[in-house]
Amino acid sequence: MILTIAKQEFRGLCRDGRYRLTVGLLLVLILASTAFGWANYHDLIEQAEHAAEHDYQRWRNQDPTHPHNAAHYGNYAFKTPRPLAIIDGGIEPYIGASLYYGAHQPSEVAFPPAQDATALQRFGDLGVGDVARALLPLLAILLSFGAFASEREQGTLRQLLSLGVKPSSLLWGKALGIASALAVVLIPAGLFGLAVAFALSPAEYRLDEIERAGLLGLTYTLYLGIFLFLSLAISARCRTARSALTILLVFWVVTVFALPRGLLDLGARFYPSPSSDFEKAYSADMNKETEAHVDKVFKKVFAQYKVSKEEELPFDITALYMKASDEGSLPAIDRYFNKRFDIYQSQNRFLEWGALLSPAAGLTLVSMALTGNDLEQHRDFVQQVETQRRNMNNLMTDYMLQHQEKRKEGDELKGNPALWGKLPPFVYHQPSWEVALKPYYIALCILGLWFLMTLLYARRSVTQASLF
Amino acid sequence: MKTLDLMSLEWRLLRRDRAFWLTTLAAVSILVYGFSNGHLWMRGQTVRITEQVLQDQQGFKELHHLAEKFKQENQVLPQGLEQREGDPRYALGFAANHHQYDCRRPRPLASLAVGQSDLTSYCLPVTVWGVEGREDEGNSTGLENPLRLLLGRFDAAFAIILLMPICILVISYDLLSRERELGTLPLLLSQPVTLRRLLKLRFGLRIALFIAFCLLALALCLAYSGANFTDPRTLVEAALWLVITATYLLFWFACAFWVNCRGGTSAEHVLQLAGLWLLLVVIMPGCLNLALKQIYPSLSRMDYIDKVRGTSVAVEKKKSALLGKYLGDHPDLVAGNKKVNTDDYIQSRILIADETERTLAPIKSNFRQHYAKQQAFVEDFRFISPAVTYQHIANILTGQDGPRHQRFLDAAEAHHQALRAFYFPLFNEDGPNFGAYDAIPTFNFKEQTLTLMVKATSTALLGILIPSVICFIIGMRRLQKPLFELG
Repeated sequence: MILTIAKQEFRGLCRDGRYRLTVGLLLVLILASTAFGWANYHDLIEQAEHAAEHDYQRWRNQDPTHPHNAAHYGNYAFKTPRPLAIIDGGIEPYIGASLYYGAHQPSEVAFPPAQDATALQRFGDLGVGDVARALLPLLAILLSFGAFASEREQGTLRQLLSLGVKPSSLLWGKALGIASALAVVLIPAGLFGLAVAFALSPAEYRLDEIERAGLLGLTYTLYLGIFLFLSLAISARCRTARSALTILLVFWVVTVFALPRGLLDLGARFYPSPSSDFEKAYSADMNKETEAHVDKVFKKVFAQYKVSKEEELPFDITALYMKASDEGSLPAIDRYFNKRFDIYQSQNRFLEWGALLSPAAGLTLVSMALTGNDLEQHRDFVQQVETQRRNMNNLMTDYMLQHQEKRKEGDELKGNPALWGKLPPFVYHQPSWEVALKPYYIALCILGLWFLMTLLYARRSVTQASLF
Repeated sequence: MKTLDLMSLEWRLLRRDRAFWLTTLAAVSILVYGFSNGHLWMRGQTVRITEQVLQDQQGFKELHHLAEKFKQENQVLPQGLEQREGDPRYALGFAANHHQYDCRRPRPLASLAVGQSDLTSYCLPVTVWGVEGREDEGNSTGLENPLRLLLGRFDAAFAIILLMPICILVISYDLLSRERELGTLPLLLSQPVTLRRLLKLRFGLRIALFIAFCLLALALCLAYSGANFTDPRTLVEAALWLVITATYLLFWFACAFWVNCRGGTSAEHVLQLAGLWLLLVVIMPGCLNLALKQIYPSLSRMDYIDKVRGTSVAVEKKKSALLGKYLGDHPDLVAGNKKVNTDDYIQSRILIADETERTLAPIKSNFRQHYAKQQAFVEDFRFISPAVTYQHIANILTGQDGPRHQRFLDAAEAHHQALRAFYFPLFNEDGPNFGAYDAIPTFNFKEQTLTLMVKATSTALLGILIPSVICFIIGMRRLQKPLFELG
């Protein structure tokens, strides 16, 4: 019986010209945005590899100079995008894909592509992820708002029930029929995602990428399922198709477009983004702690050599000063780095728990995590760059410590290409999907809960609808 | 039936229309929440800019005082030029220690739209050696949650562009079809009243009330937030903003009117209006953005980094050759000829700065021209959707548009060039008697003229008003047809 109803529902939808038109338009949109995403991905990969290679060669080919000057020249770390970025670019346009690392302290993100774009970007990119997050739920609503309400208005619901069709069979049949109609869009998109993940991933993380693609497909299916069952429930509850559609459309606009923004802004009210005071405090603390540490080290050295001034030391203390100031600044750097990202994380918690109100909020987080473009993976990238920065500085100061004999004026200590070459090129090690998804288990669980609740709600609503 | 009687009847009906009042209340609340978010952002900017200006003034005073003190006390002169950089009695020392931040101040209506302002630096440290943080690392967006930048702010402009049309849809999709579906339309028309008149009045009342409540809420918010309406420019800008907002809201009512007049069921109306919303607010702007990215794809910033880094190395390597050529052209500046030029430090720095700017100028100009092309594309096609038109003009009126930021960057660059022109000759002839404090060039940023704003708003107004009028006219013509043809 369920299959018969499903077939009937699917056939009915297929006959509807509006369905064919909508599906056609969606497929064209997905195809177009995929093609653009693909081209963009290739450009980014090529640019990142090219720039990284050039920058590293420049680092290695520096003329002999003081190691600390070399550290100031520094390097750029480039992050190559994951293939799934074609589906969801996440925060990448707002953080860029490069980070400078040099002496003294880590730097901020540089050159986010969003800075070079016009205000149109605020309307969204219509990427595959956007289409799936915003437009496919609408398709689910349009296909199902009349499933029960229209039948009731036309008087066929009563007839169907009087034939002995169980309300639950009606629900599963209709859900299956509409899901099949949605699958016309979903299956090609899903298969495409898997193919992209397989074809474009480097061998070392191909399996991880395929697993991510599979999980992404499942999450989007779950999300669409929420809209499907909610629409069926509302359709069964409302006396008219008109009111069912109005309620569902308002729910769609509010949860997909308004709430994610509103929730994050609310989060920022409780946990304000770091301001100039934060920067000042960071600077002040770092200077204070660095000075204190340098003093401590100097006192120890002075005591060891039984001198009272640095000029009396048998060696040049510059290297020791550099080492001590680097070490002294690290606790403040780490503390403020964590503090800053913790603030963002607290803001994002509003979005995560906000998934209780808006499934789209939860999906946004999970989707970005799986495509490798979320805040946590950015944090991981920044941390890896910071480790590389510290290694570079250690390499330079260690060299200085090995050559700390006193020199005449004008006889400057110089590093050479052999020293520059000791610093390996920066390579970003991407986390596995388990690690990437871990911060978003709450969002994922809430999405699951939504699915379960809407399913139960649909079942309950359909059972009650039989009373009308 | 007299218009007044009809109005009174409609008013009685409207008073009991819970959907209308609840939706209007929701709309007003959304706008107020949006405004408060925008205001929070604007206040943060204002506080930071005020702090920065005070800090700059304080720094200048202290430096000035220190220089005068050194002069009065006849402090020992520094030996080398590098040490001179720390002594404010010298132009070099004053320039090196006089920190100036050029800031893009928010316009009085900035609380209404965040626009692009959260993506760009609004305070740039400008020195004789360059404008920092413009395209280099350390820009002021570095401390904002990137996810927040991605999703955008829930400001009043967002609420108006995206959410108000939905509110309008909810209160007006069934103004005619409901009567038909309830079977009360024939009864209503049995009165001496035409359908046209009835619908005009019904819509007119809702349009007037809804728009009045929304605009009043925003005007009150603006007044409460401290916008100075005694300033004629602010008043005109606010008036233009209210007019364009009213027109945008009117457009959506016009769509609803047209859809109502087309006949069909209420469900069909919801579908048609939602489809229109989707097309004009989501799909068209999104497609325009996609098209823009393909026609004028953003220039590679990675390539830019690569070139900047390459240039700095190349210029450093060319330093000796450049210095030789420079001193050949300016034998008076050869070390030893002048007391002050004990080494080639200043010349080297000036040369490196000059050569770096000269080499990078075409690359930076490319970015500039590219952005101008993108902006021109948006301006050319903004009328394809009233949402894009509205966003464009709202950003201009609130001073949060990209071109204003470009003008700010130009002004900062001009300031930097003026500092170079002022200081560089002094550096070459530097003595411990720098005192031209009042002649130090200051930042000068001119806002767009009000005439241009009025012109831009008038164009946008026409761009939104014409389709609105067309919708109303088509609807009216449709209502002339016999009732049974209306579905």
